[in-house]
Amino acid sequence: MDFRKDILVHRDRLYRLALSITMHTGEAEDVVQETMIRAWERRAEWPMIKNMGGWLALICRNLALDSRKRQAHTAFAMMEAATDEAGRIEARDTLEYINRLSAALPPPQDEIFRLRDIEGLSYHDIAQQLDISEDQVRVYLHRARTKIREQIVNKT
Amino acid sequence: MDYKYIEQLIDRYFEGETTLEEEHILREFFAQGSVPEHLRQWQQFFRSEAELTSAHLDEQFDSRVLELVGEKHVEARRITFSRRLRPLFKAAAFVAFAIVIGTAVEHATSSGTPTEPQGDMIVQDELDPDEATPLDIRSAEVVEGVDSTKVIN
Repeated sequence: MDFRKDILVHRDRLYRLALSITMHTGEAEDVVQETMIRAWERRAEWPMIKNMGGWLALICRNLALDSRKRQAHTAFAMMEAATDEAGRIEARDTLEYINRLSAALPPPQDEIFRLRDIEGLSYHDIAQQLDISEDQVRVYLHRARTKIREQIVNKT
Repeated sequence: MDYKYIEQLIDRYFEGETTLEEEHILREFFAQGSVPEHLRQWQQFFRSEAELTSAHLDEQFDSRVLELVGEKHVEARRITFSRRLRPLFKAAAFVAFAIVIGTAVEHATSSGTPTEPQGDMIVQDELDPDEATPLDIRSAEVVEGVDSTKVIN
């Protein structure tokens, strides 16, 4: 196993995942960096890991959620967030918009929607990562997108 | 312009039947400026997805992380054709050098053999004082200067 070939190669996918949760470029980058360091510190486990992308995504998701909680509960962070407009990507509305749409989805649908539409994973990879069949992935994704379509149509 | 293909893709997308490539086509279509009126309701959604899916980290991130985990960031070296032939050039240069040295040594060792004509000896013979004629002696005086007195005495 090689850090660059097996771990670092997932950086962009993890970044998009972190970005979709934290809604902040700087925070998302910190989360991915911390994910990489955690993975390195746990390198003894690498040979036992069947799905490296899924393992990394799990670490990244937890760190991103922690980061979002910290942001939400820290007064200082809230003040900083209000003034740190430069750190937010131009498409802040974009992230909030997508998050608003996916927030209406129940847990498996929300996760599958993010894995497919934000991280760009194939049905096969999603099935592996969540340990479900590809058919189940298709069903959940179909339901998720149907609900998203309803939201878009109802809004317009 | 016919937007049937895009309309079909949108339907198939929401049915969960599109491939990753077809989803990419949809995002690219809505990310561009001009979208017909009847498709605008989907624009914000697909454009937002396009922005999210194109977000990425740069190489500085890689260097920083590799430094943090204690690995050296070794840049991949591109090997050019001339660099690949360099060992051959070195070998050829060594062979050429060995030939030059060999020739020089051979030349130096064979220079003392009697078969070689020696200009200095001929001059010596011509100026040998015992056998020289008076004309030769005078010539030797002019040529050799001080030493010529010995010949006269």
